Amino acid sequence: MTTTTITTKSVRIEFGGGLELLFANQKSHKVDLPGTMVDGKPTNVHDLILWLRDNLLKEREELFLDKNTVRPGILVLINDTDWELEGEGDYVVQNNDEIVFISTLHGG
Amino acid sequence: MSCGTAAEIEGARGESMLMTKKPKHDRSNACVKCKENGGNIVIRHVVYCKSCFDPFVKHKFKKGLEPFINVSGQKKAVLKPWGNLTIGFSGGLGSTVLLDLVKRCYYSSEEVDEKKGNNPRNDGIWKKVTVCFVDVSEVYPEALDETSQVAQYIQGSYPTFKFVPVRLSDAFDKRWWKAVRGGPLTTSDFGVQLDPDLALRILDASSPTPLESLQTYFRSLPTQTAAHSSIQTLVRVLLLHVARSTDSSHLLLGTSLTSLAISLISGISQGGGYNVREEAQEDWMPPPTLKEGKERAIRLVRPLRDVGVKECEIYAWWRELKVVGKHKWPGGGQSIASLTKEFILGLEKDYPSTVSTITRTCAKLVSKDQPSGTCSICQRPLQGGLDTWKSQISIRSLTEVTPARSVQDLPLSSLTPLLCYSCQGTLTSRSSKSVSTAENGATVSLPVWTQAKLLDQEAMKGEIEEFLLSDEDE
Repeated sequence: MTTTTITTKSVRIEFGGGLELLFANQKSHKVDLPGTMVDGKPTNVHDLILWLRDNLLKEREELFLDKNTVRPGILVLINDTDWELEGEGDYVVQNNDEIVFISTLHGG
Repeated sequence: MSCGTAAEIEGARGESMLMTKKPKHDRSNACVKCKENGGNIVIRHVVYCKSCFDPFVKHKFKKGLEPFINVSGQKKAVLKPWGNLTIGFSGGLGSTVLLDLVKRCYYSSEEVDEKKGNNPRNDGIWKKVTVCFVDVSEVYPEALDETSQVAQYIQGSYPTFKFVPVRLSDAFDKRWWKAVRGGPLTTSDFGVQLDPDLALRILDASSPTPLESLQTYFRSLPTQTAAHSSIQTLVRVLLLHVARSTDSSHLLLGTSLTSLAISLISGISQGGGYNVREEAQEDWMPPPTLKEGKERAIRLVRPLRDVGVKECEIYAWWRELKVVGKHKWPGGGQSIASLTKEFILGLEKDYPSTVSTITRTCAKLVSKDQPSGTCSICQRPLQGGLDTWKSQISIRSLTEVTPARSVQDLPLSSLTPLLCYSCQGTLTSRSSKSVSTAENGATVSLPVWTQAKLLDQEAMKGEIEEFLLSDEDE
């Protein structure tokens, strides 16, 4: 008899710049992500974004997503670092990571 | 030979055929300034750590402001403006960052240079600072009035700055005009008929309230683009008059590099090319008032015009600044400004340096001729020979081609000669997406400063009284 261990990753998600309005007006979320996706690959930020769309996003998907990635003008920080320095959507999410989504929907 | 998609080829060969992604920064992940810390943010292909990012933004802010504090010709070693400071605060990201930077750089004892000590150059340059918020929610009934949240925020975070709230309807309020300028207008109300000739009218003696005038004005505008453009114009001119009433030498706005690129491109699209330089910075000479003393030009500066919206975002996040404004103006999705914003934000994501190229290129543009006056609505330079040029390039009717009409042929009671090309288009341009709920050619009230300008023109006043039709005569 074999035992299958399902790993999850606990990740803290923060929304800023008005983006929290799309997520039940809640700025901070603690979520448990599956360690791997259906295809066996480790969960990355791209998978997280789609997971947020399917599980936490309450309204106006077009203000958060554009072609399965974050809409232009939304800044993503992974542990206080620009996701462009971490490989953007390909960054593999680690346990206890903090990922922040900040919107530039405001004007000047 | 397979002509399949990359995914099909990848599946067949078991390896990725897609081009590897280029990194979004030029060299290593280390900070380009200190070269010690790992980078935290990428700004236009350049990597900065958190420690170096803050002085980087402050330096850009000061570079965008300090050269324009003194009147031209004076030494710049000492910053000495002739008046006070007014800051236009919309509640948005840019103005939130602007307020914080003004306070930190000039009104805070916290920011002391470790080597040089407290620099007296930076001590309270302007004697009085006024923060002015213009509430625009009256235009859209479903929009929320954010004045109280903004007031709370300013009074809590910037207690030494004076808060002045203004409503967009004040642009049609004679009492407000009297308070900021001194002296009443006549009892008549000038209106304009929104037809191609922009005929001037005298409105009914029973004047509507300022709010009613504002809402009628916006209901009668032909397009969403016109509404958005009018809001921006009215807000800017209201702020200029508030700056004048507080004896300010400078009016600061929190327009970021990204926002500036958006307004430049959308302004040019609407015929505002002649005033491209004013979009970035302008010196506004107030019209004379009944108060004693000579008027002096107020300098409108956008100190964040080299700071992109990404930099503003990360600055606000790391400084834990609260952005109180939400700016959800309903019905603006198909305006030129909204479409331009989408385009510029997309451009900034894929080609970040292009956005700064837009602003730098526009800063080099110079008009060929001297202006012939000031537009009576937007208060910006008026291009000469406009009507002659328009009559040469436009066809009024496909069924009948009429001889070109020069400005002399227009009714003497027309507002057209007093408007720049952009404002003419705002009031008259129609498209398949026209949204006006009023009848074609409705008569609307004019902003108070436009009415004042009409009255100031002595020669026109007599001719207008002779030719104007009041509503009873129609």
